[in-house]
Amino acid sequence: MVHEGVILEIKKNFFIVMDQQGDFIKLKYKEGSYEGQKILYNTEDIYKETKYKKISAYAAVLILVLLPAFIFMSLNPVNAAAVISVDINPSMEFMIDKNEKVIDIRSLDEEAGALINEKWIGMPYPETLLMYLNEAEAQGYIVNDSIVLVSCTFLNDDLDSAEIQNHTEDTMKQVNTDFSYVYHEENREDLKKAQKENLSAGKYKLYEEIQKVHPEIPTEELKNKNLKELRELMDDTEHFKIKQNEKDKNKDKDKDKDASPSDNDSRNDKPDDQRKNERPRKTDSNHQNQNNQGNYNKDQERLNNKEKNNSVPKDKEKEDKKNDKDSIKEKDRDRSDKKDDLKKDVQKKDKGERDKSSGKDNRKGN
Amino acid sequence: MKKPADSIDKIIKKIKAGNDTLRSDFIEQYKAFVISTISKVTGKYIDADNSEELSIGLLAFNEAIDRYEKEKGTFIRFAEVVIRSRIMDYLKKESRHKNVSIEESKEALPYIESNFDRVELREEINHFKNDLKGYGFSLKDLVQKAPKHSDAKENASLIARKILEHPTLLSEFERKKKIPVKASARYCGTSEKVIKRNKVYITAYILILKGPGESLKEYLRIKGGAADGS
Repeated sequence: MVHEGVILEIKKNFFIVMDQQGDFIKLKYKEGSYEGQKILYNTEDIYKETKYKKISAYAAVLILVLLPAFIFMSLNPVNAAAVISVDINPSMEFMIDKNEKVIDIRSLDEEAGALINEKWIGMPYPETLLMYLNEAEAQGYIVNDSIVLVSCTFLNDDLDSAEIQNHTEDTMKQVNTDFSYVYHEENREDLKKAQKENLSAGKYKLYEEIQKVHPEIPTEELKNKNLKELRELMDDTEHFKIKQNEKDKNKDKDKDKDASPSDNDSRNDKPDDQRKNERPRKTDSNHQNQNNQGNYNKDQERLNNKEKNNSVPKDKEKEDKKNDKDSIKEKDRDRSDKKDDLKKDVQKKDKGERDKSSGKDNRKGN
Repeated sequence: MKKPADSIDKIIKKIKAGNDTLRSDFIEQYKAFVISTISKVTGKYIDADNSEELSIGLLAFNEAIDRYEKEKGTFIRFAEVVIRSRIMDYLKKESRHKNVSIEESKEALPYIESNFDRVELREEINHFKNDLKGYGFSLKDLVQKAPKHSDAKENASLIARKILEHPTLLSEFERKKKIPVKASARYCGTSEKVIKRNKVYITAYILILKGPGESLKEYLRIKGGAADGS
């Protein structure tokens, strides 16, 4: 529709116009007009300001009201006991209280924002973690060779660190995909620094650790890499050791630091020796689910002979990798001999797992 | 623009066959489109009284009708291209003619175009704005509070006319610098609420009608359907 109007006043962003129908309206500002000019205009020229103004006014009021509360809450999380960050490559953080209830969820990137659900607040942490992981799995963020970096920062002594780790690892076992994970604990200083950089505490610490070994790599470059690409670098660090996520059935034996699979030790000396330092490892969960014992044997066999044990297709891939691993393990052994005594405790605990696992050191080798 | 594309093709065929009334109807119907296309090219509003651009645009649209073939895509797209290029040609010619760059001409244009007629109108507008200020309203208030519905507008303008014709009410209005709500409501046979709600609009209307010049008044009277009540 064409309308005609007289410009009554020219403002910075709009004209005030009286049209032929006796309406007083605002039109978008255009060059070359002057007060008193009669102009033709379309409905599309009408200046739509009142709406935005209203919305922005409401928004401003809302922000003013909420900001102090928000600041107060973020500075002084009522009874937060720990912050747990989960990096898949979407990154997010849980804040939990001393009862392991989730009191806040924060996404650190857009992808994570789409995965999390505010309804999770108030639910137990392990349940929430599982839902998040399942969601990530459903969206294709977790695949078989994914690495999930879970990092826990305790804000006070209300929670037991071993318990949280158990709950975390148990939860991850309930996810169907065979991913690897790293569980790490951070201190509060690191969390603060990480939050300043808008990173998860886990990633922040990981970058720091990698740079300890590889000071030549700039942080920006690390930020641009996803966890899979960081895998090799992770292997070089002291603290970020990748663990294969074990399936539920093997839970008891697989808890890296808690289980003490003594009988496995005797059966499988070889892999044990080979992997004295904590190396990333990957197991074939299908086998484990069928039968742990048989699994160990199979793995053992596989180490020696790749052609056997093809009952499950997945094995094949793993066997190929084992090829490399044999040589790598030699290296590992050398290295591990030099490692300090402190490590040995951990190694023992890990033996059982390693027995089953066919050793995933190929990255190292590559 | 409301009609589907295939019927446009049919209309154009008929126009080409010599149906001239249909041609002028069609052009009239698409005037808004022509105007918005021109406005997009020039980045300005089109002057309602004498606009070279508008006539060039309409000619270009007419030309587009004659030159349109189905192979050239949709008619609207084609017409837009034709109008665009004609207007661009015109702007180039203009700037060459004036021997100044387009940038300069943009700045210079308002003063060149504002003839004496417009000066008069501008003075009236200033007068009106000052009057309005005297009653405690700004143009912005007017934009915000003017009735949007045509019935409401008509009603308000009728009230304004009645007040204007009533000497006591008008003198009261001028003395107190506000509408004598109670007396006016009684006189006009409406509720006080209606007057209160539309007080900005009614005030503005009275001020325009009792203003010194004729241009604004004419503008409302000649073209405004609602204002023609009396």
